[in-house]
Amino acid sequence: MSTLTELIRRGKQKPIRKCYIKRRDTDGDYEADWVRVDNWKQIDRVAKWGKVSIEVDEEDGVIGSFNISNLSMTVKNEDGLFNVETDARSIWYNYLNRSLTKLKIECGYTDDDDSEVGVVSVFEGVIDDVKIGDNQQAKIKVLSYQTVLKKYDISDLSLTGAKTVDTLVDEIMNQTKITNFIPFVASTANENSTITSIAVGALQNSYWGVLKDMAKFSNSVPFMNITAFAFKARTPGATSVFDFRGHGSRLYDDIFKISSFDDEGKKKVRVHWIAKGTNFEAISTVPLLLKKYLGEPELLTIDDVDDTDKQALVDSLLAEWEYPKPVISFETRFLVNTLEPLNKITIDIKGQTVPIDTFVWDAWNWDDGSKWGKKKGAIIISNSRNWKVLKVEKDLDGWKTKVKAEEILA
Amino acid sequence: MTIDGKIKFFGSNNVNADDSFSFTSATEANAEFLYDRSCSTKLQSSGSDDSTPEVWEITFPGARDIDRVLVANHNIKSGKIEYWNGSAYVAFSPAVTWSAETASTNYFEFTSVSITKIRLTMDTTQVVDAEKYVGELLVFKELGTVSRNPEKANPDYPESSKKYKTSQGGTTYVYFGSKLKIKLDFKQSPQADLTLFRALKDRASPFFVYLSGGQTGYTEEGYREQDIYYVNYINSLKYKLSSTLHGSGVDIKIELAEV
Repeated sequence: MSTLTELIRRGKQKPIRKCYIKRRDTDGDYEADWVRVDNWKQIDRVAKWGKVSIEVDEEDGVIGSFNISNLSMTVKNEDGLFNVETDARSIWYNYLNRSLTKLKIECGYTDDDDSEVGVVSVFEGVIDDVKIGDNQQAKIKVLSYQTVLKKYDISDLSLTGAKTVDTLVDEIMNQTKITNFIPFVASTANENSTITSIAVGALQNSYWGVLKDMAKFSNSVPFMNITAFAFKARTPGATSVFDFRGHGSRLYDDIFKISSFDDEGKKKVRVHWIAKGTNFEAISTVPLLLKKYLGEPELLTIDDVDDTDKQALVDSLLAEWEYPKPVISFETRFLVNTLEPLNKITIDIKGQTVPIDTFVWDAWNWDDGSKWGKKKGAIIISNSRNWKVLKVEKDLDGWKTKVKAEEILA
Repeated sequence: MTIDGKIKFFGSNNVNADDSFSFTSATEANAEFLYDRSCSTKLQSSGSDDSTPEVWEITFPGARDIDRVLVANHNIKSGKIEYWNGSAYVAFSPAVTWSAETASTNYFEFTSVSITKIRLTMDTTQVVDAEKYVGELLVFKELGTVSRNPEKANPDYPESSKKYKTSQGGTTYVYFGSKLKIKLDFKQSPQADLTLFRALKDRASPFFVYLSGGQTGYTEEGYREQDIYYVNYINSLKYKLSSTLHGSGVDIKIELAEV
């Protein structure tokens, strides 16, 4: 049997895509088993699978930003399968309504012997809305589980007393109404700041809004991939999970297109951080950086953080954002779940086609049918440089992946 | 009930997600392999041998009229399929059985019966003591058989695919799959066939087309015993008299596309 990586890199690929739902019974409980609906009564149902993406730090210089996309898919509905639950033809007949039905998409590859390789869930969420049309199709909008965290207000926890970020995050995430969708994993904040008792008592926001604030107060990221939640430092993994090869590779190449390459990365630089209304600040001590990037200081509103933690927090933020980090976006093969934000990768772009290294001009026999590949030297990236993945977008219809990554500075 | 290579049509497969499944050792969660319209994905026993019958019971949500069964990509040497008559499992008429079977696909015709359950019993396998498996199990009602086969048939397998150029100009080819599309050109079809085509056109749901009609020995893809397609009749029902003499039949072209 081939490995998933082998199938990802194959010149010919046979994708596997499956869609499952879990409905709620009239008591509001989810049925025990997933029900496959992409092929129902021997008819392929899905006309359009859509795209899903996960991204950290999607806003330049905004701490704690994280986004997991929703999914819009289109299915064939000529027999009313996706109609309202009161329609006896509907797959929801005798169940509760369509909204809040769980939906997941599984993807993988088919091997030579027709066995399935690497089939895993690439998206899971809850149905928000189903719109049926006279074109005999139904459009299903599916919200990621991040949305569940936006539906509850922090006031329902009646929190009191000073709490560390880890404690507060755990109190939010370790509730049945949340773990029904997102399994609990204890928070490991980067700077486990203490939130003052006054601030805790005055918290006003959705769970998600509070998690984002806590991320800011601890230089962390609220990270969710499918159903796996983690509140952690934005530290990349220790080893590369995928070594991408581009132009000039001897063996194979993975990159379809480089969409953009910010080879300086100045958008993300912040060399001066100030806790607004206080004397806590952190400023770069590198003269060249100050010459290049010193502008308006980044003002942080961190009144909620205990004074004893404020200096450590601004220092941590400076360390994170002090140096420019080149950012690259490219399209590549469909990677299933091989890649997620915060993974480490390498990219090898040599800038020219074969032969490399040993070729000598005028030593070529041009009549043998060979040709010198075009010199493409605008972007050359050594595989000794490491990159941290910021965004992964999976195109389930096009069967390709868009990756955005920033360089990990040595 | 004749099997003479004439094209046959069947209603929907009664083995589907609405049914309840009970298997001796095969995984019930994999029951969909029996009706996923792919012979290559097989439902398989676990830890079975030739002294341990593997029995698969399938219960329909209500009574179903059936008179045909197709078992594709199996390795059954001896076994049988029976139905529940309300108090016991009994044989179809004629019985559906295997004895010293060597083929991997079998098609059976029997007298129509209204049933709520069937039971597939696999006693031994073609390779001794192997796991028992079935790629596809179709239990359905025949809609009709044409009196005259088409003079021309043009099968086509339009595909869903993507091609991507990699940075060095190589092509990555993503093949999602293909579905049958076939044009059948009938000449001098009698009124009975025209009535059958009208019934297919007016059906509220797709139907199966069996180009081999159950005849064994055809080797061309599309016409082999295991090749059965769930299709819609997608062109207009349009015909002309085969000659100026009424009663000589009609010429009609029908186009079928797999769902």
